[in-house]
Amino acid sequence: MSLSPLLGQLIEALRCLPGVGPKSAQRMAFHLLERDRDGALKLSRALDEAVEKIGQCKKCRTLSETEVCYICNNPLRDQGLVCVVETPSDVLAIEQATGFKGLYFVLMGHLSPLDGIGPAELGLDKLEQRLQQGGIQELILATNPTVEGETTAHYISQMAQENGIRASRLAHGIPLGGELEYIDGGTLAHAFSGRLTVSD
Amino acid sequence: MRVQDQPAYILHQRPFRDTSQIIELFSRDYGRLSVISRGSRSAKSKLKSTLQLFQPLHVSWSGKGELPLLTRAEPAEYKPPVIKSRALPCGFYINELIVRLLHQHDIHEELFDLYHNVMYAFGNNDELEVTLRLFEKELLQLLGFGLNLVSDADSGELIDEQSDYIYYIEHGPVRVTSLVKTDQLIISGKSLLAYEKSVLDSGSVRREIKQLMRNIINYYIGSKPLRSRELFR
Repeated sequence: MSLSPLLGQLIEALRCLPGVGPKSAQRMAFHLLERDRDGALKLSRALDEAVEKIGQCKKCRTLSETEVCYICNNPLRDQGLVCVVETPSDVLAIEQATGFKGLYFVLMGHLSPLDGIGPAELGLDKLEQRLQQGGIQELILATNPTVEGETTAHYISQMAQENGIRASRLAHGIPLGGELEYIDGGTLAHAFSGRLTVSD
Repeated sequence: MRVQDQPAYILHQRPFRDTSQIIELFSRDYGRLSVISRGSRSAKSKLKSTLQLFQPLHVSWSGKGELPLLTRAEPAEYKPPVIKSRALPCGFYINELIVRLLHQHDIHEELFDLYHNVMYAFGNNDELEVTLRLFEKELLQLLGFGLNLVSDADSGELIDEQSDYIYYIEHGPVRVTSLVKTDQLIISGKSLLAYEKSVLDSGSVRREIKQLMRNIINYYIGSKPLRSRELFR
């Protein structure tokens, strides 16, 4: 069956989404046009507006439609604590799971020289300016526990050290409900060397 | 072609599609090659912790053509090196050098052994700078760009500890006569001989050799700079 040009265009466009192949793009397109035209219009308007208006926060680089995002703008948050993460979805994960009340800095990636991503690409000059301005007591390094994430954390920790600011790193450990037998060696070795004294 | 349990390190990996990745391997018997690893970036993948840089692995792949499929990857059965803090940028630097200087599919078992030993050296001591310099020397040697650190390239005389030299790339060191005015890097005979003996224990020797090797490596890698140098603070 050959598709009408507009339909073909829609299916092709939907394939830019992660996890959407030709078959599911087709299903989505037919669903929107046959059963949910209101939803389709709403989606197209929301998409249009979001792409048009959402940029990066000037202070923390996360996605934001205002010049400074709502977290950076909130005077009730602890201005002396900054948590460094790789992506905006990491901000969301920490917001939802922890009671963290400080600010963030979003790198939008990690150091990866062979991909051409160095300190400048991650906005680390901006972070350094913030460290130099003063007022920050602790930098929480919440990059991913990969070699690239560790390297990024190490680089930023040196930057913090040069500016006399304490840097801390998220702990590595055994996941909740995990069983030692099935945990990979690297995680277990980290958890073992980072063990804590039992207290009441 | 089917390759089983080949000793290898990962030099680089980049995401491909939603859950796959393309992995640049440095293997002992097949040199540098790219393989595709399907599904290893998905949330449930057990391979994530295995497929990390600087870890000795046993890797299996199969398939013809440019991009064979990774079929298995397991950590080597011995204790892996622990690369952390200041050693991390060094590891990236070495990986970038290998990617830039070694052609894909050039088989280089000795270089693989050198790489393997350097990883453990990074994990064990804090003489990172010396380890890097010795690696650079051996790397050039193995790739056929070996340095001349024993004799004057013009006169053929042995290097004199008391004299100064200019190192001409692909030619060798030439003694500086007192009248020559130059903006080229001047290396003392003492530093050249120390590097030949792999004994870099004084600060001035290390500084001179670092500058020398920087010039030489820049020459071989061409105009695109090494990005991993930015990781050193």
